Amino acid sequence: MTDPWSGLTFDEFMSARWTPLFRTAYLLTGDRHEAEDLLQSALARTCVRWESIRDKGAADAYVRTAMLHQMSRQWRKRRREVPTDDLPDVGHDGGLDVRADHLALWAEIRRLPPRMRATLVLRYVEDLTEAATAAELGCSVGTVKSQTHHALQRLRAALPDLQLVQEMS
Amino acid sequence: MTRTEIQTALIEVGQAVAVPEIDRLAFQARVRAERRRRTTTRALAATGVAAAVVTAVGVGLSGTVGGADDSARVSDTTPQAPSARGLSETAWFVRGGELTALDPSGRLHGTGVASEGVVGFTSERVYALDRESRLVVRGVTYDDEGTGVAALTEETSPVTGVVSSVALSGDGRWLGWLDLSGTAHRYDLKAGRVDLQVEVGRNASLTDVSAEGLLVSDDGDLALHAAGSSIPVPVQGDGYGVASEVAMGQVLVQDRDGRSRLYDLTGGAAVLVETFEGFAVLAPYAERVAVLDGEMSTLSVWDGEASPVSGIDGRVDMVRWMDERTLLATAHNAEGSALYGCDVELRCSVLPVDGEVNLGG
Repeated sequence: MTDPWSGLTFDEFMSARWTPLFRTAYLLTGDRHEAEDLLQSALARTCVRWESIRDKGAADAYVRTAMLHQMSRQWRKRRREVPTDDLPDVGHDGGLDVRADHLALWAEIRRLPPRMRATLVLRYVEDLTEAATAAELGCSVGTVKSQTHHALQRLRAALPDLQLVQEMS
Repeated sequence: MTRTEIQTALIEVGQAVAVPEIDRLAFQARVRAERRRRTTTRALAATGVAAAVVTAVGVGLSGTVGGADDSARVSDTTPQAPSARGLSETAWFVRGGELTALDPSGRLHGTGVASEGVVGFTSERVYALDRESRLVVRGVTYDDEGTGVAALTEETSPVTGVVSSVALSGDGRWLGWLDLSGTAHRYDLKAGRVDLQVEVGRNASLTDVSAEGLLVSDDGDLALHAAGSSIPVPVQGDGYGVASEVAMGQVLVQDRDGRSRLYDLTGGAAVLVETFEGFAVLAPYAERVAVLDGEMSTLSVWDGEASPVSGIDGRVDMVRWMDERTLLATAHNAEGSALYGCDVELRCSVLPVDGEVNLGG
């Protein structure tokens, strides 16, 4: 059986996958400009290594890992920043046409520390297992569990009316 | 699988966010930078191996380690540096009055354009002023390896007529200019159209441009102008803010009291973020500043971490950021002046250019 990805050029890959990867980048960063910046960096890294990526079908994961590594460096850089209650106006991101309660939830998710937010994105959007999430974040499965737990605790405290389950089955 | 509120909300948000077009111009520049980073890392690794081997041989033959002799042996066996090491893209400057390019392979290219100064450049083209204060544009095409300039082509300038002042944004997307009637214009180079015009007065000076607007100094007042709004930025002492810069909502003001001040305008008003001793220059995406205070160093805007820039033999005269990690600098000492390419996380290397050059306008 022929591998449908084998002849894929980087340009074809980027054109086809830009939109879904940008959405992931946006959920990771919470900001359109930062998302574009992050994705471009990760794609540039992928581009120069394209020939050495044997499984082109896994290139999405390669880009995502590159984004997480880049973000990890930024987390370390920004650890001395003082968090505030002020978040950029959602309108700054072009306005999000979503349900009001989801918008409120998203606002709270954006307030989470980046690593905690990344854990939620990998587990709930990318549908990765705890082990796979731990591998991508470069941490233990226990850390993924505790990060998820603390994230849910914070969201539950911020939005007591929302019914948040402890863990997905 | 149960779809929790979080999962549903995140997916809905992801679907709702407006996805921008791929900025291929910016992407190509990042690919070049990434290629250079890989090359530099490999070169450093090779140098490290060579040094270790030479030290070991030195011990075996002479039984002594350390001192100046050792350094000399290590230096002698260090692989020959590329002629324009430190450059990932073509650098532009005015040399002998002519707009000139130095490509990453170390070759100089004269353009025949008599120029007042370089406004700015990207990997694809350069914007410069000719001797009559008209904007000229030259496009660059590279050879197959992407390091040498294959051709320089004359391109149509988006600006007709003489300009009073002109600037290119750090990200290379926006061109701003002030015409002789006192109107400031911003041109979106990606969209190919003017998207902002502001009446500011004939005696004003456009100091910089960015996605946030036009930074204009007018009779001692500095302000960032956008459509229907204007944010004043403080200037200290007898200053006019004429060398101020803007990027990512941050404005860096070089004040006349010998300090540079960084303001955050993202909240709709100028909030002082940091004061630097000396003359500071803002990097294209405002993640770093280069500070000249006798010696040159760079500081991270995020955490204030300072990194000295090493490898320059002399006093730094001019600095221009090429990208978030690369600086061009001119310096002079008793023997003359030299042009340097600096990787701010590594060191500076002398570039193969004879004579004095002018990096700015």
